[in-house]
Amino acid sequence: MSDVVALLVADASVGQSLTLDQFLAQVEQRAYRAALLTTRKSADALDIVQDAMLKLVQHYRTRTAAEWPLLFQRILQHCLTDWHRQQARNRKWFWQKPNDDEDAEDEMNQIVDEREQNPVELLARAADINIVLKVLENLPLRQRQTFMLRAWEGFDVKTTAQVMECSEGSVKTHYFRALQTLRSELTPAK
Amino acid sequence: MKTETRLKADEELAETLAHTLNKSLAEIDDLSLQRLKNARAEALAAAPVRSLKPTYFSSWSIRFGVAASLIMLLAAPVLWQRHNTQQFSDLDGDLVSQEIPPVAQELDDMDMLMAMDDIDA
Repeated sequence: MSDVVALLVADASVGQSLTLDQFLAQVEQRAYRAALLTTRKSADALDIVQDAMLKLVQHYRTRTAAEWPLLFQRILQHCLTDWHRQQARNRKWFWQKPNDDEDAEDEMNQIVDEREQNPVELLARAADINIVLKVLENLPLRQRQTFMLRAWEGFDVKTTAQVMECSEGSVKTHYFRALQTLRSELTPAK
Repeated sequence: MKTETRLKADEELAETLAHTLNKSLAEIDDLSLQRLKNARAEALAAAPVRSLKPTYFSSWSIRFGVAASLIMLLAAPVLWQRHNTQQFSDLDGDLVSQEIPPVAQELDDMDMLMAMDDIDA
């Protein structure tokens, strides 16, 4: 979990009360960024974040503060998956070609990129916000979710698997492929 | 050795990307931040969802009322039968203690005979 949220939850566990308002205030921007990477539309991302906050408040407000990060992430990831499926159904309904077919992209990711990678150049591009956001947007949903939860939210493999409701093996595979794709995409074409 | 180097490089890349994502939070526009704040306020103002589990028998008073009603329904026929039996026995006692009055039809017959006697006379 992110540093700020981890500190707040740690405070709550030693007796200082963390209100739900404080918790949501800390996670809302991160949730919005994660939603925006999936939806690419501000209005849809806001709807998803609001929906996730509403569900957390309505169903889990009585739970302890230590449980909120996991619960909130689980709800948020569910909302994102639902949105993604809805979009896929809509595209199918209107005979549009799906633009992010996960299986196809997974097959693409199995091809090892043989381009020579300059670590300094790679990290320089990884520090560029626009490039990073663009590359993350193009990741398949499950890979992006895994990367965001593992690398950004700081969850371990077991917790990520709980949030995503899949096996730990799947988390490891998605994370490995996500890093492979990111490395490949961040490497400038020669 | 190569695997270790690769893992370390992956870790470094992930850390850099996470740092970049943290920086990207500062780029969220004010309008979106305000909308997020409003969304949070609306979410916190929402009432908790009531449990879907039926709560008809959750209260002790309601449970007691239901139990009492069931007992009354079962006992009512027995009590009713006992009450009716007692009424009949009381009525029998009253009838025995009273003189039997002449039946109305007999009185009519007597009147008719007396009237016929008067006509004959």
